[in-house]
Amino acid sequence: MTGVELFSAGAEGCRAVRIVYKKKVWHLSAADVIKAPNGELPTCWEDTPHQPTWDMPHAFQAPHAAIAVNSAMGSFAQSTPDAVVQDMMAGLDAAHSAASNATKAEPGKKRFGIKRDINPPGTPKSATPSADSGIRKPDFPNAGECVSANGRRFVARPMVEPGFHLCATLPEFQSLWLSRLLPEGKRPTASSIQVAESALMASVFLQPEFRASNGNAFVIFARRDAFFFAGYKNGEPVLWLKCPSAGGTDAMRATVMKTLGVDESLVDSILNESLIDPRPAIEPFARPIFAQLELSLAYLATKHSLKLDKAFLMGMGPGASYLSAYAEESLKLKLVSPDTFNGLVIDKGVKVADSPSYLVALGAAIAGAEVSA
Amino acid sequence: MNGSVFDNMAPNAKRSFVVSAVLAAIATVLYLFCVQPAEDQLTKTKAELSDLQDRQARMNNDLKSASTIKKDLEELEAQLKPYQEAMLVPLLESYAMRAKSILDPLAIGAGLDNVEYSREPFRALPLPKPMPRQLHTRAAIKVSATGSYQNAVSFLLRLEKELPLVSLQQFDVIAQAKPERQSLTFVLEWPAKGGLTRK
Amino acid sequence: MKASSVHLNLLKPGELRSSSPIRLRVMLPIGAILACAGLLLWWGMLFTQLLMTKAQAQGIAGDIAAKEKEHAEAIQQRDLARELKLQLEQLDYYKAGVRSVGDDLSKLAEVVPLRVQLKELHFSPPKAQILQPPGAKIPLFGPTENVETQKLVIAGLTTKETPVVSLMESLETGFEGLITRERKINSFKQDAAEAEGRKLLSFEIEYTMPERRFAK
Repeated sequence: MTGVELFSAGAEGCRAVRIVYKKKVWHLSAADVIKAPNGELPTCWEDTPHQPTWDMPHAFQAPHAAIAVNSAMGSFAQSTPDAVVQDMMAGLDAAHSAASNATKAEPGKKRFGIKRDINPPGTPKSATPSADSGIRKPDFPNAGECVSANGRRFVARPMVEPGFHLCATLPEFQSLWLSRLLPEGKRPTASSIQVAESALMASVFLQPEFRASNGNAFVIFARRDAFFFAGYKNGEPVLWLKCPSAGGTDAMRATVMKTLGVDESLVDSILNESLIDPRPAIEPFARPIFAQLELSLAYLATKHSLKLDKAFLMGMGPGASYLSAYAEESLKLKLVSPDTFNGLVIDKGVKVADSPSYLVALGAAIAGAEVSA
Repeated sequence: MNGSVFDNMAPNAKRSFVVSAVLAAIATVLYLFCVQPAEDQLTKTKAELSDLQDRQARMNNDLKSASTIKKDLEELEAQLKPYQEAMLVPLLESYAMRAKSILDPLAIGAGLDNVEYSREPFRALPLPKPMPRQLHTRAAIKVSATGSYQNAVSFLLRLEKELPLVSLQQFDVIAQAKPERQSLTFVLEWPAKGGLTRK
Repeated sequence: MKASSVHLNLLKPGELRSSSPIRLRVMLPIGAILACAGLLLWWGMLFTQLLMTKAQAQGIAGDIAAKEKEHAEAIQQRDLARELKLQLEQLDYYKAGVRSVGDDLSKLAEVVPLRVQLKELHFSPPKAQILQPPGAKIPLFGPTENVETQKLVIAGLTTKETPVVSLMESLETGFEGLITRERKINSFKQDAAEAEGRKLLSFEIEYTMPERRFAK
């Protein structure tokens, strides 16, 4: 299975990995930055006739490919059936806000990305006409079934806690565009289209420490635009939350640059080396993250009886050590940053620089291969 | 394939199926109305050509041997000539009168008197295989005369010399009171034309 | 610990594509086009062959027509040659059966002893030819046998047996054209005629003549 991350903000090319299941072990047979397809992800129906085809390099010509896309019009969130159905009825206009519907915090309230239920869990999912508008109410999709509604595609999967689902959406035209990107009659062909955040959830499944903990883990996914928190119990997702009130690694780097008055080119060396202590710059940035982290851990402990003294920090790159130290100090929480490709056998000749940047691609491949925790 | 399967096909698959069906129909028509008739006609024409070639070959063989046949024909005609000259041909539809015209000089020369000629039953000749169209026969003429035995022998000797293809079928000498007036009967055979075996 | 995978796939099953270059929806039209093209080519080849064959046949027919007259004459000549050959053969049969006995008959007169008076000398008639055997629907064109045998009968008077014996001895050699060695004495008896005061004896001897063989 080939996993590829498309349209990552600010990145040149696309991160791609190829994993092969050989002798009961997953192997990493290729990992590289490959040339992006000719064309932009369409933002409206009118753009879809301009359909490029994308030829992948030989190393990534597995039979199938899982594409994880970064789309401003897509969303991945923990939600309830009613919220999803409302979203399905909303149409394309909701695309921009779909990602934030389930996670936007009400003023003054800290939320874990869980929308208050209008109807309690267990409400029948039958389609009934809305009394207000006369529009037929779409059915909540079956688990794993991809449905189209009002110009968007939806797929949902139940979580451990009844009434909660993970739901991914993309505009219909973007889904179609992506489905036709890889040409027929050539390897690979697209077998999976995922929203980038949903691919992240599966990216830890091959980590030995994750497996050693029986799939009970708390994972912080660091992305350029945001931090995400994911909780797993026995390998099943129990929490997915975009950290509110905090940006991603780009924001962190911007804070360091502003606070320390250094150039972009020096930020990596500051974060990796200890010549200059960047903690004064990082601390204000990290404070809301760890506050949310504390709340999330408490939620897992009370709601799901998951008492964790360790968490994973994935996709961080430079600065991970400082966050780990900060977590240790403030929360007495051990924050481990394993290599992205831990748990895979790296094939001979495969050299990977900047492995954290391959997290989404790896997660897409693992999810596309239907690997379970 | 039922309707629901066709309806569920992707548009390009449907298009592909329809195009294939149309082309298959065209191919069928081409085969039934162009290729097959052409094949049949070609087979027929080839058979006709083969017949013509055989005929031409036979014709050429026949023409090649034409000069040999001509030479053979001349030889045959030369061989047949003595027979044709010796053949008894009726004189005013009478074989006996022809015989008389031929034999009278010999009979008189041999000293025979009261020579009379009459026709005897002709005898058929054995048939070669295959049968010729024109058969020949042994025309028999009875010659009765009086004379001595010496006259008779003289007549026969002259006959054998002059007409070597005339054969003595029967000979009868009956003594009379006078030896010079024996009753002599000869039945002589000539080759003659017989009937036709086919038209 | 076995959980289900976290795979939220936004690709619909109908959008799955085949990586095989050999796809039915591509190969079927291609196959159909190739079939049509192949049939057209085949038809073209057949048509060309047909034209060539017809041209060849026409050429041969023309050649045959040109030689028809000459050929007919050659056939006629050939048939005539066959006919004449057969006629010649039959006439050769005739020639083989020609009997020449003039010399022998001439010598016969010289060997007759003084004491013998020949009264009669005749050839028996040849056996009648059966040209319609019993059961035959149509008569035959020719005899079933090609051999004829006749007898030479010598009848006369004599005074005693010795002249007859002498005659018979004389006829034993030198008369092969007239008689064979097969002979039969039909009769030897006293006759009513008299000469020199005594009764004469009559005799009749039958000799088988050499067969006449009408064959080559």
